[in-house]
Amino acid sequence: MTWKMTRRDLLKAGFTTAVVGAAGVPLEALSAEETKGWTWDRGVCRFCGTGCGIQVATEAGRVVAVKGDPDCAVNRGLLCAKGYALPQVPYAADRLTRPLLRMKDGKFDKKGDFFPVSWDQAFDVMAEQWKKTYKALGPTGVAVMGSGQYTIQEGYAAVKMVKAGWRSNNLDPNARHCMASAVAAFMQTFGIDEPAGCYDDIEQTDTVVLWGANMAEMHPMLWARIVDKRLREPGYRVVNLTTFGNRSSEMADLEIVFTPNTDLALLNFIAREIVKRNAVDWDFVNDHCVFAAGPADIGYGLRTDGAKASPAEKDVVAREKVVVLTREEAIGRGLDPSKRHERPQDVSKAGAHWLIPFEELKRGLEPYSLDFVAPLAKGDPDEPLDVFKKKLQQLADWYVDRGRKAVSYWTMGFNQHVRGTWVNEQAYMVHLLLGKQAKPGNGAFSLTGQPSACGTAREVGTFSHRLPSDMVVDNPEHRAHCEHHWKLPPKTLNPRPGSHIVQMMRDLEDGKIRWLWVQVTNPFQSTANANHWVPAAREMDNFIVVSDVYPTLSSKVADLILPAAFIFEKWGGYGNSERRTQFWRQQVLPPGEARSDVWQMMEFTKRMTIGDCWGRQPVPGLKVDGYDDGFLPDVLADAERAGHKRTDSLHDVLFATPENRKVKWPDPISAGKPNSTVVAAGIDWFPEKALFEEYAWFGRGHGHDLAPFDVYFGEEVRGLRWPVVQEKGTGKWKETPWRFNEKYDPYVKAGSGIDFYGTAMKSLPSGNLDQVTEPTKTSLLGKAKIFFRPYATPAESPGGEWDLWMCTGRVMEHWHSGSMTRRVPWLHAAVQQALLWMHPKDAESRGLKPGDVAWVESRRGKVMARVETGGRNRMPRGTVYVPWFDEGVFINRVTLDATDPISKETDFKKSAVKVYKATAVAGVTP
Amino acid sequence: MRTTLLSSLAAASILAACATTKPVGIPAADMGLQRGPVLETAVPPKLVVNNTAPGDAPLPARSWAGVAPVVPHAIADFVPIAVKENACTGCHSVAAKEKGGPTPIPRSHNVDDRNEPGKVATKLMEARYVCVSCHVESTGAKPLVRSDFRP
Repeated sequence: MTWKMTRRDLLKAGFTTAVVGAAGVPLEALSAEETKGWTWDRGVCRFCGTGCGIQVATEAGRVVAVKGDPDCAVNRGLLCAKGYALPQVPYAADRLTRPLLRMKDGKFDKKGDFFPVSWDQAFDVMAEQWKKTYKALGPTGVAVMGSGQYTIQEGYAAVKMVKAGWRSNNLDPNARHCMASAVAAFMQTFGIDEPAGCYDDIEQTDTVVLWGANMAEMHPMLWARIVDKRLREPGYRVVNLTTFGNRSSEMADLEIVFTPNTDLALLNFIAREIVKRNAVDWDFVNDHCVFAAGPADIGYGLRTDGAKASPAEKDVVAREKVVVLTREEAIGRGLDPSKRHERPQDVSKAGAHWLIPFEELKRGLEPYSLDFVAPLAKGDPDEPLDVFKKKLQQLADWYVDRGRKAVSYWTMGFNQHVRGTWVNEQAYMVHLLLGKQAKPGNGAFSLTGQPSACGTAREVGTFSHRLPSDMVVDNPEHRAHCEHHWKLPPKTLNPRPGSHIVQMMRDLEDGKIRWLWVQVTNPFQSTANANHWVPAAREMDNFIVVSDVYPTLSSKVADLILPAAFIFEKWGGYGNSERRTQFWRQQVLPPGEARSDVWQMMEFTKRMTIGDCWGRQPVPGLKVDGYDDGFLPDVLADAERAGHKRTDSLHDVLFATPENRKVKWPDPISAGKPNSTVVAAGIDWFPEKALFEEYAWFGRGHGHDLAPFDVYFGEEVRGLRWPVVQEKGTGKWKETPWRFNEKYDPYVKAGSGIDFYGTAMKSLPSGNLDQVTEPTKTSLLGKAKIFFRPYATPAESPGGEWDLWMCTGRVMEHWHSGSMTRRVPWLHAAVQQALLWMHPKDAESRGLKPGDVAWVESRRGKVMARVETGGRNRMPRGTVYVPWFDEGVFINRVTLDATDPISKETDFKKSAVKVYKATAVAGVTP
Repeated sequence: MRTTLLSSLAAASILAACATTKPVGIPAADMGLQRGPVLETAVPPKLVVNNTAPGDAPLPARSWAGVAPVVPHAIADFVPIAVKENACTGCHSVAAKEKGGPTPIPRSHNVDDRNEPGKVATKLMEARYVCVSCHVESTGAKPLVRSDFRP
C-alpha cells in the first residue's frame, strides 16, 4: 500500500495531537545489546553546551553505540540526532593518524605539500620555529588558539604552558566568538562568572522567553524539557524573540520577529514598562542592587589603522573613529533627533562604568515607549504595526505578572553582537528590577554554546586576559596567587593582556604573531572576514600548527598538522551551561599515531627550558608599576635560588612536578580502562587526574569548588553543579543548584537571603548617565548592578547596493564547522550543504527560485549558495540566513569582523549583503 | 635537533639511496571535505532531494542498533511540528507494523524517565514530541568521506 497524503490531507482527516493518545503502541526489542558483549561506561556528549549525559558502548576496542543516560538529570535518556551520531564520528576514512608537515626536498617549506613525519621530526621543526620567533619577538610573537571544546585538563595545560612557561598571554579560545559577551556581562553585573540558576528552572518556571536563541535546533534536549512542560501544563508560556521565524517559534505561544540589534531597545521598553507599572520589586532592589551606566560611544572593535582594509571596507571601518547617530539612536539617548550628532568613538574606556541613582535609570529609559520602540524594532515588514505592538505588550505583561515566574534564555543572538555585553546586562536589568533572579524558576540564564566553554575556557581561564578561577592577569594579587601555587618566581607572569582571537588574526596579518598553535578548533573557517586571515597564514613568514582529529579548512592553511585523539580516546572532563562538571574515562585507543592534546603539550614543552623563557623578555606596551616599561624581568636568578636549573625543561617545571608525579597510574578509578597519554609519555603518573587536582585547588574555598576527581565517577553521580562542597557530618558532596540564594548556596552570608558575593568591580565612583561626577568610590559588595544601556545600530546595516541583512548560525544536524557531523553519512544526507534562506519575494525579485545558485556578497567577499525560501526558517523580507558548517559555502569570507568593544566578541549576526543570481562560472552551470 | 644543512644532506642521501621511491606529498587542496584551494569559490553541488511519499521508499538499515532511525520519506509536507499539529504522530501512533504501513512509535517513547521513571505509559511522552530533533530525513546523498564505522 502506498501513501500519497500531504500534511493538509492528514489535518483534514482529523489527525491532530489527539492522536498522540492512541493506545496499544507495540513493544520494541530493547535488550539486543545485552547479548552482544558490549561494555557500557559513562560519558558526555561531544557537542553543544547542553551537556547531555551518555553511556558509551565499546566492543573489541571500538565504540559501537551510545544511549542517552537515563540517570543523567540533564537529558534523562534522550539524545538529539547529533548525540546519536557520536559512535560514528571518529571512524571516517580520512582520520588524521600521522603528523603532516609541508615539505620540499625533505625539509620544511611553506610552499610544499604535506608529508607524513614522525612526532619527533614534527616537534623538532615546531620547536625550531618557536625558538626563532620567540628569540625575535618574545612572548607576544607566539600564540595558541584554544577552545571551548578543550577538556578541562587540556585547557589547564595550555594555560600553564603559555602563561607560566612562555610568559605570554596570547592564549584565547574560540569561546571568544561564542561566550565572551556573556562573561563580560556576568563580571560587570555580578562580579563573578556563570549563571545563578540551573536547568531545573525549566521545570520550576511557568514563563520561558527566548531572546535570539533558536533552542529547538541549538539546545534540542533542553528544548525537549521546555516542550514537555508546555504540553503538560496549561498556563506554561513560551515566547520566541527572533530575527526570523524558526523551529522554536513552532512550539511557542508568541513569536516576535525583531530587526537586528533592536533587542537593545526592546529590553529598555520592558524595563520602562516595569517602572511605569510600579512593578519594581523594591525590597529586592533596595537590598541587593545598585544602578550603573557607562560610556556609549565605544566603537565596533574594528581596526583603527585601516591600513589593511580593502577599498570597499573603508566606509565601515571609518565608523570605528566617528559615528553620526541615526535619528533613533539620538532619541534613544535622549538627544534632539533633528540635530546632527557626530560622536567620536573611544574604545579605551569601553568597560568603564559608575553608579547612578535610580532617577537616572528612569531618565534613560524614558524614550523607550511602545510608540518609539515598536516601529524601530518590528522586524517583519509585512506584519501590521498594531499586531507587533500587542505582542510587545503581551511580553511585558507576562514579565511583569507577579503571579508568574520568568526565565529568559539566550545564546548567540545576544553574545555575537556589537553591544553583546550591554544586551546581556539588559536581560539582568529586567530580571533584577522584577526580583526574578537567583531563585528557582526565576532568572536570566545565559546558555552556553560549546560543551566546555564554561568548564574549560571560562573556569580554567584560557583567555588572553585571564588566569584560573575568574582571576585576571592584570591584577597583581591574582598573579602572585598563581605564581605561589605554580611555584614560579615572582613576576614570572605577564601583566599585560594578550591578543584575543580576532586580534591574533590581525596580528598574523601584521606580522606581529609569527607562530601559532591551533588546538580543538577551526578558526580559519570560524573567524569573520576570512579573506584577510587565510592569505596571512599562507603567504607571510610564519609557522602555523593545527592539532585536530580530521583535516579541516584550518589544517589546509597550516604548515604542520598534528593528529589528535578524539573524546573517547582520552580521559577528560567538560563543564556545561548549568555549571555541571562531568567526567569520563578513556574507552578505546586512538588510531595510528594520534595522541591526546595533553600529551602533545607535555611532549612539546620538553623542547624548551626556563632558560629559553625566563630571562628578560620584551612585551611592547607593558607599563605597570614594578616593571620596566616594555619588559618582563629576568626571573632566572630567583628560579635558581628555588632549586631550578636554567636547563630545566618547561615540561619538568610545569607538568612533571613532584606533586603531580605522586598521582600514580595505574589508579583503581580507571576500572580497567586505558590511558594512552601515560603510555605514550612512558610515565607512571596520571596527568589528567594530577592536572585536574592542581587546577581545582584554585576554586576550592572561593565559590568555584569542584569535588575531588574520583567523586565524579561515583555510582550515583552524573556530574555535579559547582560550587560542590562537602557536607559536615555526612561527608556527602553537595552541589549548588541556585547560586547567591541562601537556601541553596553555601557561600551566601547567613541571614542575607540573596547575596551577590562576586567581588570583581564592586567598588565604583558615582555619576549620571553621561559621566562620573563623584570620583570617590563606594563599595557594592553583595550587590548586583542594574545597567542602563542605550539603543545602538550595528557596525554595518543594509543600505545602497548592500540591501539585505545577513545573519549566520547553525542547523541542528551539524556542529560548528561540520568537521565531525558531515563525516557521518546520515547526518550529511539530511543536510548536505549550507543554504541561503530568504523570503520568497526577495528571491523572486532577484530572479531566484529555490535551488538556484546565488552569490551572497558583502564589501569584503562573496560566496555561492543555493537558495531556500521555505523549510525550517521563515525569513522576513530584507533578511537572509546562511549557516557556517559548510567549508564549501565559506560564509565567513562575507561576514564582518566587528566586535563588541568590551568583550571582543565578533558580531556574526549582522552584516549587509547583496544577493544575485550566479550565472555560468568556470564552465560549470550552477 | 637538525640544522638546515643536516636536513638537506639527509634529504640528498635519502634521494640518492631511493631514487625510485620518492615520497609523495599530499597537496592541501586534496584534503578535507571540500577539495580545492581554500579561497576558491565553489559552486555548491546539486542537492539530492527526497521526493518519496510515505511507504514508497524502503526503511534504510540502521547504522547500529539503538540509533534513532532516519525518516525514509520526504518530510517537507509533514513539518513544522507545532503545538496543535504533529503529522508524524498522526500516522506513526499505530499498534503494529503492517506491510507498507508506517513504523510504529516504539514503546520506549512512552517511558518518561524524568516525570515517571520506569512506567510505560499509553502515549508518547511529551519530551519526545518534536520528532525531528532526533529523526532526520534520509536522502540518497552520497557520503563526503567513506565511513569505516562498524557496529
